[in-house]
Amino acid sequence: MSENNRDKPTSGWSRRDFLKTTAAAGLGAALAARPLSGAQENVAADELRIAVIGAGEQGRVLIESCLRIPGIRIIAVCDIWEYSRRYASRYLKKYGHEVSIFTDYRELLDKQKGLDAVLVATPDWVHHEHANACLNAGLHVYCEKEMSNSLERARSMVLTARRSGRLLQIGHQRRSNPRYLHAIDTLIRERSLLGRVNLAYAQWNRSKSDMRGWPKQYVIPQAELSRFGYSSMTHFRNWRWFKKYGGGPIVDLGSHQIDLFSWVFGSNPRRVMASGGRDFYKNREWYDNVMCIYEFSTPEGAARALYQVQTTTKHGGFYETFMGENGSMVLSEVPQKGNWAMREAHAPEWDSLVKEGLLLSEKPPIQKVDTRNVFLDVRVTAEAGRWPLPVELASPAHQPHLENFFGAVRHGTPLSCPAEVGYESAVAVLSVNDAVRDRRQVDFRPERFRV
Amino acid sequence: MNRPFPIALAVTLAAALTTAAGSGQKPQDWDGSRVTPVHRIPLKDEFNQVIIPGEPNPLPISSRNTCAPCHDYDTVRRGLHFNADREEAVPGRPGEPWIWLDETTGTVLPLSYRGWPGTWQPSALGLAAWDFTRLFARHMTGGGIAEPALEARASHSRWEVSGNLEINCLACHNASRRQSHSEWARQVLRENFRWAATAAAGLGEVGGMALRLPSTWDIIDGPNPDDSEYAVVPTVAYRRGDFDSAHNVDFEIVHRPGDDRCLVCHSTSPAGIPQFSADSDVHSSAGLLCADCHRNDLGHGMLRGYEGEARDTGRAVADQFTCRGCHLGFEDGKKGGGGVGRLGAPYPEHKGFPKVHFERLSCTVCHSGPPPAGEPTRVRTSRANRLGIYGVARWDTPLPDLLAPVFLRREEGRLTPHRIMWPAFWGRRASEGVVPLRPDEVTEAVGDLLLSIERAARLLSALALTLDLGGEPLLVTGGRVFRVNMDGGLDVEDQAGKDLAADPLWLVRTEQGDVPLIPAFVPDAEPPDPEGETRIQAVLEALAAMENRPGEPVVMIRGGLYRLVEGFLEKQEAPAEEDVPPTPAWWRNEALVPLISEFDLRTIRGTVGTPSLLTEEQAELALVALAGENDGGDYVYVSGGRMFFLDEDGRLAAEQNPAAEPVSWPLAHNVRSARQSLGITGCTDCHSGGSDFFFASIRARGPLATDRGAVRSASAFMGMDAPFQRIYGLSFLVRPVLKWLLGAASLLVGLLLLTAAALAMGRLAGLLEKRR
Repeated sequence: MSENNRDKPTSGWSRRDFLKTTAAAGLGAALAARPLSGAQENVAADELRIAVIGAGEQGRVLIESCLRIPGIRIIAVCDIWEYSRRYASRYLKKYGHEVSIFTDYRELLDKQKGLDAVLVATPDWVHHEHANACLNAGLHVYCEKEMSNSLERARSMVLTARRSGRLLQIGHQRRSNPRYLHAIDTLIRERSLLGRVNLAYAQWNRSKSDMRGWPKQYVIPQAELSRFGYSSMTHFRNWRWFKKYGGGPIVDLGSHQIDLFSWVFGSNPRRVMASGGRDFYKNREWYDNVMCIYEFSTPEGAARALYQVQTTTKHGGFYETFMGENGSMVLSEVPQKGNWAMREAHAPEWDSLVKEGLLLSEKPPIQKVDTRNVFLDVRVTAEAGRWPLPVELASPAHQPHLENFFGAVRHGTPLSCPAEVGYESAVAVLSVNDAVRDRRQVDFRPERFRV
Repeated sequence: MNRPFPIALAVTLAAALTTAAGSGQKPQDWDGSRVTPVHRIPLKDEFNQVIIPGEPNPLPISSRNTCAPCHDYDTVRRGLHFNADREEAVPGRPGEPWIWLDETTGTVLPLSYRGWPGTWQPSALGLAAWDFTRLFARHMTGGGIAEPALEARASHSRWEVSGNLEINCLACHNASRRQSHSEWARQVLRENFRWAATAAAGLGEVGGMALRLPSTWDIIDGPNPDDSEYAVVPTVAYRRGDFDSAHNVDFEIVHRPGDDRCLVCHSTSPAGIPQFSADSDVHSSAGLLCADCHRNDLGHGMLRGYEGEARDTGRAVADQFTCRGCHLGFEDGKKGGGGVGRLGAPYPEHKGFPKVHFERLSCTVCHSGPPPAGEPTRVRTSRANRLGIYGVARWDTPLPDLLAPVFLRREEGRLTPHRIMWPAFWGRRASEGVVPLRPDEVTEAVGDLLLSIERAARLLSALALTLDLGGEPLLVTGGRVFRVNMDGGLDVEDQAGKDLAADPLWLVRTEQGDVPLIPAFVPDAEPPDPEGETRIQAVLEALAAMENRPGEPVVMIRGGLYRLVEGFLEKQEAPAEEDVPPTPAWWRNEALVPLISEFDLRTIRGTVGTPSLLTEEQAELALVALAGENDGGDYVYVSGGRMFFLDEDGRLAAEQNPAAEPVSWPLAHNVRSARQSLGITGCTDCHSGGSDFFFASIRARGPLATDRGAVRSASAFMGMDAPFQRIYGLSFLVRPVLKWLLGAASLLVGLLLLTAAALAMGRLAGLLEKRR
């Protein structure tokens, strides 16, 4: 496994800093109170001037987070679709960011001066093209996950980043999320809250959905689509479902959570077996449901992780569970769906962690029994209670990851998810599609995760 | 035959149409047919695409694209209902302002973009178009301020998610029974602006709530497959049966909206009367529609019908649609026996009325609004009191208090009946006068000081929701019973015949009657009483589940203190008095704190069930908090026609101030029948020593419970000398006697003259006889 900063503080923030700020629900208020940055009134001396390539749904999410971060000025937006260009420029204008608009990233790199970094939020299949061009132009790059839908292209990104000496952060944003940092780094790994963890389960189930449409007045002419490599507007708007452009649901959704398995187990998987198919959506290319089992070798022995992605039912939604001998922990990027630990009856006491502020105590539910002897054992504990995690994140989920990236650009602090880590994740995730396609188990040699 | 009139009318109307439509617009000539065209048309969305209901995720309709191919949107946009934010808009005679009511802080602020006297510009209070729309979209027609230009969009606005609130043409012109204003209000409160017109028209069902979507969501993203419970993307399920095979919909469009459509926003009724006793306007009773008089062309420059409108707007035709225009004719004075007005309006004879009345009074003084009474009538209007929105909870509000009629002299010098409202707000004294604070600024500074009722309601709700009481929890204090209502407030009823053992008392209303929340209980009884302990535990668990509770819940019973320790009920010795009823309380800093504070109880007793929202004690403390929280500045509270402030001793004092003066606007409806007019029974309807017209007592009311509010007589509002009017009025008592005396004297003089004439005739006859 490559060296990375999983075990290090991010953004110049230590875990204790976070806890100090957040344990008493202070972070929520602090971040919630921070306004989206307005016009020029707060121009910092170390203001970073950035461009966004790809201003679609994910680009908007990144833009919105950037507007909350002091000292970040978006000066250029590039997208091949007029609708997204128009939306982004109007949205940014509301916050006082006058931006240059480009259709072709080459034109942006050629004409836009004074850039420090670029956010790449284009479809997976062109990540390498856009990220590499920016890195070669001397710009730092934040690139959305998945690095690519091809390991070869992902590898080229790692190499380009190394060669250029520029930073390349991959958008596995949970890696910078203070809740995940606290849960995994502190509680599971440092304090061994769950004891030996030998099983993980995660899922992302979502309801069925229609293919995306587009306003007819914003149709990209076919010649223009072809110039950018898309065969139709349907493919352009629904690229995640077509093999040329994306990796399917296991990559779009599963990649976030499968990445956590390696983080928790401290190693990359040694094999994966999978089953899935294009069973529901006949007009799409990628598997609409996938289930897979990873095997890991940890210092304490074997561990396994079960993962499923479903696109025709939202039963259970999305969350991750880590199960150990002393308890289990449920996490989700949406705290209401998972932000607690559950203790096994025989586990060492957790009250000291509560006193340290690392866990919150929750009273176990009481069950009454029908007896007149009210002073004796009339009430029993029905089930183990939940022990909520004390860390909150009130800002958008991507903001800490962007802050980590901008901190690295400004101060040289470590990235949460540099290219090498993103590559390891891509290897683990993209291999699932191979396993489904070939109906075979995929074994990983350690060198497969290295570039 | 008199030909010049129709020709002049046609020319005038044509000129008006041309003026209103504006230059450079599509010609809007009427072809002369009186038929309302059938509107079997395709619906179009905001991208100008035909809506096909069977397609995935069809978008809501856009009036800009659905209606605009035939009815120029920008022309309509200049209309009275949509143009308040436009510089060229003529303010005209003051109308009813938008009234910002915040019941927590006791704020009742009149707002207007039209610069009417006594109102505040929303922008002066820091309200962006987004804020204003969120506050008042429930009764807005869409368009105008609700469709701001890009540069007018505040950074905290969410127009990208909510969409624009386009002009809702269907709100007025859809004659379908499905058209629902309540649905409109529901949708706009969910910030489903772009979906509201579709839902309100009954074209389809709209689910979801833009209010909860992330600010990065955009209409082209469609539904979120990961969330169908909380942040649910609004979607439309169209009624497919309404569409034909070509995706056209048969709209029931009318050119002249029915009165119900107007009354959604323009209802005015006396407060507190049953519906069956409310009369309608005499014109409505006679069969006229609102739109018969309040006409407009495509430019939607509605004729408001007031004297001087023609002067204000430059539209001569406006003079024909005033009271005088219809009832006296266009050219008053040329008619001899009767005028030639609009709509067959009867010509009023006004026999016996001195001409001075028509010079100094507007017609509405005698004919419109509630008749004068000892105190003006409290009225409620749709927009001020949120009328006409129906759901499980009550939407309407008792505040603001509007009074009518109050007679004021307008620019033309004529007395005119008005509706008035006394503003109420927290403010800061500055060199330019009192500058209001927004409610959010007040709550930020004063904390939970103004939340007494909310605190009590939360307590009762917690007990009701969490506790299996088999009844409804009640709070008894001051001899009255308080219970939570559906809106999260408190209702009050008298507690007849109850001998209070303690105050406050917590009871439960069961089918058997009101019983104590915690029944009489002997802790050390043998055998033990499990029901008593179970109830105590249930109460404690209910209170423990409350957010932001001030301490640990405990129950005190005869020297015993019950509390939950790790989920188990524990009894401890406590510093409790003997023989007190079982009392729930908070345990904080090793001391007992009452479940509800004396301050909260005083506030509840002083305000619930009254028209007031705040006590003087609250006002005093809030002013201290405002000064302390901010810069020690000079803060005031305006209510009831007075400005309240802290005097040198830190006590609440009150004085007159221009900022506390009422805002007023002339009223025109309801017009009463001629038989119900002032003066129908004689001059003394007004001219008497104590007539309601001149001497009604007008008491200012506001959210503050105080006896220091302003009281003024009707004649003071008129700017008239009350003693003179009283003496002049008294003169009408002796006028009949004077008339008799004058008649008798005239008769006597006549008789004398007749006698003298007869004598003279006799003498003349004698002289003639003598000469002969």
